[in-house]
Amino acid sequence: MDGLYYVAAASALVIAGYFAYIIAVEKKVRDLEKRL
Amino acid sequence: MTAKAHKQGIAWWKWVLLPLMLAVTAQCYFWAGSFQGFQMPEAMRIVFWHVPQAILSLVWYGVAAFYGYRYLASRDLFDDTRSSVAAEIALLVTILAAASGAIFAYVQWGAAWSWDIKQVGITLLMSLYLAYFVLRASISEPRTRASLSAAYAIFGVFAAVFCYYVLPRFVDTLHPGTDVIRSGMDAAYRTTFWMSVLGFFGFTLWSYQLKLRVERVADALAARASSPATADERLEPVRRQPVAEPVGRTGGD
Repeated sequence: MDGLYYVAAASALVIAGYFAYIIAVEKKVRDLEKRL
Repeated sequence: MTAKAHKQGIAWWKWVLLPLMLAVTAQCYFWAGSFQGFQMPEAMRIVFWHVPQAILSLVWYGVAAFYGYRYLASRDLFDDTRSSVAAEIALLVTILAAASGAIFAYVQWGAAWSWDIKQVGITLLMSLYLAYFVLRASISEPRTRASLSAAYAIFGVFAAVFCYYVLPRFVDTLHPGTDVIRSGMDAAYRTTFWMSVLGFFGFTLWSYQLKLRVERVADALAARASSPATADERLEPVRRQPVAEPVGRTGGD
């Protein structure tokens, strides 16, 4: 059962990594588009 | 994504990623069983989150090399942009593969980092691509930067294949061989695994498109900054010229 906590940690880490990147780039593109 | 698609909202295939990844998560916990022969059999489900990152990093290093080659063939600077953005996505995915792999290593081998040859290989690869971005940042001339980056990206994909597949064949590794994993994967594992690869490919493609949009807008801003931005500024040299008196006109209308 303990192993499933590690699975949850790995999945949360990977998903959070993608979302952090996508949100940061989306914010940057919106800032740039405002200046255009 | 085009400006038109942006106005319409998020593309349909990005909405599909949500149920797809929810299905992967549900299957991971409720369909795929424990994988016998490992230290903690139920933790083997980490393969659904860790291995797709390793596969996709190789795919994106390949995309970076492809656009690098295309730049050398076409000399279109936007191919260089595509190549560098693909390399950035590949580096992001490699970092996620290393981080999720460290959790896997902690569960199976008792230590998050034990300098296993695959861990050494992925560290080499990350260093190699960090150096790629340092190289790009250090060259200001666009054509020189693009040519060197293209050659580096083409070399880089061979280095990635070497680090992932060739190096572990010469040195003992704690990682199970692909034949061991394949023989133990039943239909539930295979289905969930390839759905996960597809879902994460969608995330990487989304990231790639977004970053390309940033580069396009940045290029447009740079072009505008380097040329007179307003009609008044464009007309300024014309205004400075002496105005000749029109022939045959004596007064107002």
